[in-house]
Amino acid sequence: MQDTVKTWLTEGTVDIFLGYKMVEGHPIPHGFSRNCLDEIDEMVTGPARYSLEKFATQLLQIHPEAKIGILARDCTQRALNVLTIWQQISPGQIKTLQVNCCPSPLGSNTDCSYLQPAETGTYKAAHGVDGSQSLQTLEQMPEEERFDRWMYEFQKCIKCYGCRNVCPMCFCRECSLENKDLVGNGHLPPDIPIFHLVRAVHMAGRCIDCGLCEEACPAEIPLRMLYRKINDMMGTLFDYHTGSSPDQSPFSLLGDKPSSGLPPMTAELSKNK
Amino acid sequence: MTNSYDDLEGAGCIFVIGSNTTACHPLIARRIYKAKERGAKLIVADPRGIQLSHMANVSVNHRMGSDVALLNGMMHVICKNGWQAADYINSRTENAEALFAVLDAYTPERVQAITGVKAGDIELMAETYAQNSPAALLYAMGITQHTTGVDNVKSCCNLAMLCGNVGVAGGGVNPLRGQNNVQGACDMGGLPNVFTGYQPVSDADANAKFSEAWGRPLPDKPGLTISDMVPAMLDGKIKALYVIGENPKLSDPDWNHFNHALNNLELLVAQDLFLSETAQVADVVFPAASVAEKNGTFTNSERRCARINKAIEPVGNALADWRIISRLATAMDYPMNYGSAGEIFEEMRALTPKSYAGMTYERLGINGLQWPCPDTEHPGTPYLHSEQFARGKGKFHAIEYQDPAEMPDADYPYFLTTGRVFAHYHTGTMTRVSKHLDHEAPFGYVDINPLDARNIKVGEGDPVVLSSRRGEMEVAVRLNEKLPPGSLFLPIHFGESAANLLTSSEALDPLAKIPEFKVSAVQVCRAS
Repeated sequence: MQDTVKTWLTEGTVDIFLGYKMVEGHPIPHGFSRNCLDEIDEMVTGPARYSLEKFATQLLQIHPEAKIGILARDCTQRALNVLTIWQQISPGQIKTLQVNCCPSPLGSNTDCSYLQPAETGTYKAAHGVDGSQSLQTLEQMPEEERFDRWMYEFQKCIKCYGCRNVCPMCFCRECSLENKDLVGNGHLPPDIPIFHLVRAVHMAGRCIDCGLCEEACPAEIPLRMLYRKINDMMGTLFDYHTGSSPDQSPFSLLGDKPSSGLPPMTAELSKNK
Repeated sequence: MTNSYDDLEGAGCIFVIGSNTTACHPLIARRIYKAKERGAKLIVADPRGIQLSHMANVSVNHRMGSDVALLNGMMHVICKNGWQAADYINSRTENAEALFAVLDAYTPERVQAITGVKAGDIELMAETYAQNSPAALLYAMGITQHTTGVDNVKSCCNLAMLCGNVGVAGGGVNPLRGQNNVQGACDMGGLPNVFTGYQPVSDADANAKFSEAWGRPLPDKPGLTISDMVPAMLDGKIKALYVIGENPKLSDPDWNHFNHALNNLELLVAQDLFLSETAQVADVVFPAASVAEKNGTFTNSERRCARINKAIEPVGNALADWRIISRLATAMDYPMNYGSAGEIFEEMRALTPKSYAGMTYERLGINGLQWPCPDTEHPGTPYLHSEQFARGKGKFHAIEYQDPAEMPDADYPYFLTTGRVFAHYHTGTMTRVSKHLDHEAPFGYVDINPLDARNIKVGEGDPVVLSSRRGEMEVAVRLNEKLPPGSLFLPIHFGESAANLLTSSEALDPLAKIPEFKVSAVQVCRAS
């Protein structure tokens, strides 16, 4: 792997390679360049993850012509597909070096230990949402109970914006979460559930189920579950599978005649009751 | 903190008093969440309803400044039910009888009358704390910033020792520090009465040791606290003030009084990252390097000393604080020729045998070490007082409740407390310049209960005039039903609506000299 990266850099296939470097026992995200080829010996793979594709997007905003190599898991590939669709990167601008991946309904080849859910505590199991459960198990609960459990999770929010800041899909120049007309400012907890639902709605057609938001959340809100529900609805309602290809734009998924041939949304919503 | 952050997750009960933890210490709040979700009990006592109150098994809003009464009430109930740790009290502590004698009179009914907390809730707090060992007690400025600050802290210690919670994992008395390195600054002798590691300047051996190391005879009398410096500035006894990394023009009590004192100075020097309110009126400003521009160490709330590493060279003319001080000392005929922060650390640890001697930059690594760390084989200390207390036996203090310096009266009928907003840090020099944080709280405001707002005929956003015996100010109203009627809350971050126009510089704890920022009596009226 190190040899591949060295070759890419020396031959000019890429200008920079985004991966992880071991610093005092901690894998830290790092940009490797041909000026410091020796550093590549310290490049590591493993369970550590960070939003490397977000760095790539930001680098391309500053250097639109740069060629970027990136250490990629399945979720990275999904992210690049969606970023291409949303015109944040151009096809072929980013070259991936594939490594093994984490458990996700959207992928296989799994070894991401950070995503092994910690044991769910008794109080959380009784009052909150257990992120280690499947969406299907959660949805078997009565709607009112589910609502109460989600509200328990949301009221822990300390409005750190960690979910947004780490998200490879949060590239908007203006963020709805910072629009006072949508979400009130200056309070803890933030306006709930609207803060989390605004973000969830914006994840439709974007969330690539990397789980970094949930990993970043200091309040351990099972955000991944929330956005999985959104993806689930995108699949059921529109046959849209976020990140599965770089071609299917959400703007064209309805075709020429919007709503024809699609099940009405109310059917999906009433099914869950 | 006697204990460690990790420890909190193993507590059977966490008692939070005088700390709005989710807003001011969010990563400690994370540990509280984790403990709670695992099954630990949570008690929250705060004059305001706070975010943590919603998660608590027992949540109470005690009247501002009534902490000693509340804690004595809990201890009264514990002793009455025999829930105290009798063996621990016998073998590890002293002076318990004096405490017991005082506690007799703090019946739940009397404490209810003082604190406004229902007798049944006091009993429930006592039972929850005593019956779910180990219990960790957490506090912040809500305990310390009172004329009875030292009494409040001693009462917290009394409660913890009464139930055998000091010197055990998952327990302890845990003050949450307000800054990343305030523990380190105190450890380094940034106090008027001690050298590093709390070695008293008045101790002949310590004084001789430091005088020899630094090659000059050192004063053996304590200097002045900041609260004592202000009157000395007014009297002309202090002619020059050198302010490093602080913004007293906004953070000191009684704004008008403090500004008179500043005007009396012949020289004001400020050393800061930004041109703070204090730096704006200084005669000389030294631009200090930020955390990203310097090497060194920070010591955090859990006594963990960890390294910081320079990421970029200082921008512009900025220098690391130690370089500025070294140059100044050299210019004043005391040459300081340190080559690096590491060299100073080596000098410091050689002079600080009990706590820092075992730390080296190499050993600190990326995770740091917790003091005491007396030798280079020592692994550091996750919790204090494990075998015995630092002084031998843990001493109980018999403490009687006293009212705050100012109670509401006919002229000033409201309680006012000051504090923090989640988005801002202290006087806002570092946070108000951030677009995202400014979005959350761009202006100052006063929190007021909707019932009080109705009485003075104001609504959300309306301007009101707040006045105290020290001064007055105009500020916009924010309605908050989680604040008890008769109480107001004013954030401290906003220079244009400076909370310290109203606070007192004379209401000080007699020992610690900390001002009573947490209780003032004020009047509030609709602005004309």
